[in-house]
Amino acid sequence: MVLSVVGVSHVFPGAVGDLSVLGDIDLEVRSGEFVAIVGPSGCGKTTLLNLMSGLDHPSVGSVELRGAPPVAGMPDLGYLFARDALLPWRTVLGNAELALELRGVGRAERRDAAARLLGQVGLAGFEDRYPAQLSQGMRQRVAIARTLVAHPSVLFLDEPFSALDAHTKLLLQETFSELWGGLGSTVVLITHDLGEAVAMADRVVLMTRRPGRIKRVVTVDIPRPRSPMALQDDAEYHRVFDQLWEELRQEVVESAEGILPAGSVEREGSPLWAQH
Amino acid sequence: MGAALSAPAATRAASRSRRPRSRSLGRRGLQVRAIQLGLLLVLFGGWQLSTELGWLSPAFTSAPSRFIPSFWHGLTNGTLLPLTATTLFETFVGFAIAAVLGVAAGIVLAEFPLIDDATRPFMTGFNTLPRIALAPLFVLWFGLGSLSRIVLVVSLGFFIVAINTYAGVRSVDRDTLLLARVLGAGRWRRFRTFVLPAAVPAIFAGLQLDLTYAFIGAVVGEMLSGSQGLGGYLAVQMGSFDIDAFFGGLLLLVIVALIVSWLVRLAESWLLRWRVAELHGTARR
Repeated sequence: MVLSVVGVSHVFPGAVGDLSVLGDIDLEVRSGEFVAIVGPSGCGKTTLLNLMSGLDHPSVGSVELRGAPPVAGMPDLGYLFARDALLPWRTVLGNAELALELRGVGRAERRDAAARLLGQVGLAGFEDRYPAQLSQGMRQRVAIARTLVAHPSVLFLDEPFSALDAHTKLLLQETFSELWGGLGSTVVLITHDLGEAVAMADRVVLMTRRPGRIKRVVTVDIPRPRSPMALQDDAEYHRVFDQLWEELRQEVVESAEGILPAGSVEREGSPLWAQH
Repeated sequence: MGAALSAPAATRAASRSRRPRSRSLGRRGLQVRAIQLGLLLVLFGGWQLSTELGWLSPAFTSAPSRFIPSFWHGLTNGTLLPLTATTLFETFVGFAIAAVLGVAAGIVLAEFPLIDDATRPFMTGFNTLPRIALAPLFVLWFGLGSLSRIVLVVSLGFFIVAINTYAGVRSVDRDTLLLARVLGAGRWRRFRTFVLPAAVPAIFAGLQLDLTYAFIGAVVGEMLSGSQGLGGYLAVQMGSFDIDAFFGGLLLLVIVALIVSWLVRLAESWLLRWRVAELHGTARR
């Protein structure tokens, strides 16, 4: 096991009262595995990723990365967020080489590596542009290059494609899947997009609404290499998707109670409805 | 005072940078130059006309036809240039000292909250002192020479730069700090690679203001303390009611200030190339 989460609960202390965001999570991630964690908005999935990646520490339970608690900033961990966080004063190349620069890699070597990766994400020729000159999709491609250039063995992805339009999203999922195929890193992907999870992951972990618990874990038996775009008409993809969708839908509806006007959401097949 | 000043400085810097700045004058650049020339002609023409019509008395307000020759005479006979050199020396030395100390103080205060909290009342207190009114005190302490003016200039500029630097360092994007953390940047790295570059626009807004105040400080200090520099020249001309020479001196002052401010803008646009790129963004939106 690369990553193991044992009996983790998490509480955010607050002035009005503590907010319990995660309840009793047990999860193991094997080396080289791609795990996607899906759940309704506010279910604590980002918190879970923060705990797994060492950005935060659990209130209860333990997280171990190769036998020790993870620490954010460890050189073989990679992170990709929804917002690209590109440094606007650096060129595309300057942003892509950042991780190697911080690691003290020589200028020529890191520029080479960054330029090669930029080529792989489809940005050859854009090295000297500034982030403001790029589209949103291109910016996120730079962020992918910035993350992968350091060859992280464990990758934490927090909704990295969620800020993109539908087509750009598919293209970037495609690019990322291709690059990941050649890396063999372990990946934990947080997403609210079930299609993305099923298309990209080996296992999909479905979470309940807050406080998030693990509701279901499903293995996706689609052979690799996969193309998220071609999967749009794959039978297994649709089977897994449909199986998970009903359960995710329940959680989404439940978590929207009190926000949406009564009767606006279909509540059939929602066993938890009686509790409200 | 500084806090009230720094906000508009930042706004001004932002709005200025939104204008396209092309080195080779394009169509728009020519338009701007033409309008500027027009405004200058309206100002000086109106002034001259009002004098000719008797609405303004040249004994009190001079007139372009009188102070421009006086200005030119002062330039060519060599009296004004050494005075300008003195004023510029005080301005630049004071500006540079205030810039270095102000940037350093702003960074220290922003990065070390304990020092920030502990020194806050002192910073606010000293910044509230009317420094111009203290000019005679500086003369008493540092003599009639340039040193007293430099001290005055530093006392004005320091707080302006410090407050802007502080605001810039403090306003660094949260995503940028998160990135520094996940990339494993140590404290110094985090500051050098992520925080300081993000603060540069705010620091430059402060430096622009610092320069303006450095000029004002140097000239006012000279006027109050003796006969040196452009300020001293102005004071002497005013004392002898030579209004034309006085306005001639003012004209030189304005021209010098414009040139210096243009040089700072050049440096700024080079250092902030990425912001220019932001304005001419091709693909975005």
